[in-house]
Amino acid sequence: MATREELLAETFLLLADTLVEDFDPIEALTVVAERCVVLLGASASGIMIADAHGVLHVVAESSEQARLVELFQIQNEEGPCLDSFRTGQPVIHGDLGASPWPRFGPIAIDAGLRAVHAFPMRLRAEVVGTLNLFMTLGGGLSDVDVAAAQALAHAATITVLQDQSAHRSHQLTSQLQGALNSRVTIEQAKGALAERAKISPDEAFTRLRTYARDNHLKLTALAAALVARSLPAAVMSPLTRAAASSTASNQVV
Amino acid sequence: MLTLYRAEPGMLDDAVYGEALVAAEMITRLILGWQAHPPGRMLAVELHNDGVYQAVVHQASGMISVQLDVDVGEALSRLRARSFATSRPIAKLAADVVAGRVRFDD
Repeated sequence: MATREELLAETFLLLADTLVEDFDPIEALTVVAERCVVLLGASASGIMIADAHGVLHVVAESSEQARLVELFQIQNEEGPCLDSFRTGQPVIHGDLGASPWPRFGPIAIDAGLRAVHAFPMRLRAEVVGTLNLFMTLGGGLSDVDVAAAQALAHAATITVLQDQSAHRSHQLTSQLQGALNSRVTIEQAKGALAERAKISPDEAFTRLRTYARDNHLKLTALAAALVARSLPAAVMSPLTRAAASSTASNQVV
Repeated sequence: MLTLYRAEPGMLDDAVYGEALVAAEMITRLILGWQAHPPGRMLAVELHNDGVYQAVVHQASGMISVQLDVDVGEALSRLRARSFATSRPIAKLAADVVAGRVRFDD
């Protein structure tokens, strides 16, 4: 079994590979969020990016963050993620029962959480988003864990920004908006496939990721084609394979 | 507030109503864009809390586009229209759609 250090090193190698190869940023960020759960003992992890209005949106999450959607609604008004985004500093808070967030704290506790930590995603002087850890156990993070989380946040920032030399704000905005738009497309595809195959959106997401990975397709491109209803039957058929009833399209080869 | 006038009496059907809501939102976003930083981010947060940006809204749009065999932009318009017509916040209605409690093809 790989040690934590080996898994951390392997995660960075994977992200480096995604930068060299033709990669899908949402798939790469989803891997970061999933690895955060394993590496840092989190119950769930999410990556949020700000749009042109400074409103934070989730662009990638570990599978368990979906259940925290109500918590997310308040994160643009109050909470560790907003504080980290505004200050550009990590926010490590080990006890939500004694938190400085009168609304966020109780909602998080009701969701079964005891601690939430947020790390800024920074590009020089700008903060473009946050990487967030949701913990069901209280307590802070060790220095090593803080460094690892911040390094993963930096890697996530690089993954989002295809052009690392972007220093003009309008370029930055369009790159961030690209990631946000990709996420919208993926959510639409989750819904469309869920409806077609009579499965949950989470199962639909898994099928889309697996199919994209197995066939060397970019996740966002696959999702966009599905939403636009331009995928051939040869692709839709395996994606919808567990559908309860046969449809005409499944019978056409 | 966006006020629309027409030459003939009558109500807006769902699809047109949805498009009017989209136009209103687009105008709102243009206005927001003209502000360098909205004071206190109040308007931006309200737009966010409108629920349009939530994942569940986009999932529901995807489902409705399949149910009605329409493109996803029109599916979102229909979702907004029903949200207003039933006075149900769009995020809650979207959650109903995703959970299978509400369908648009029945």
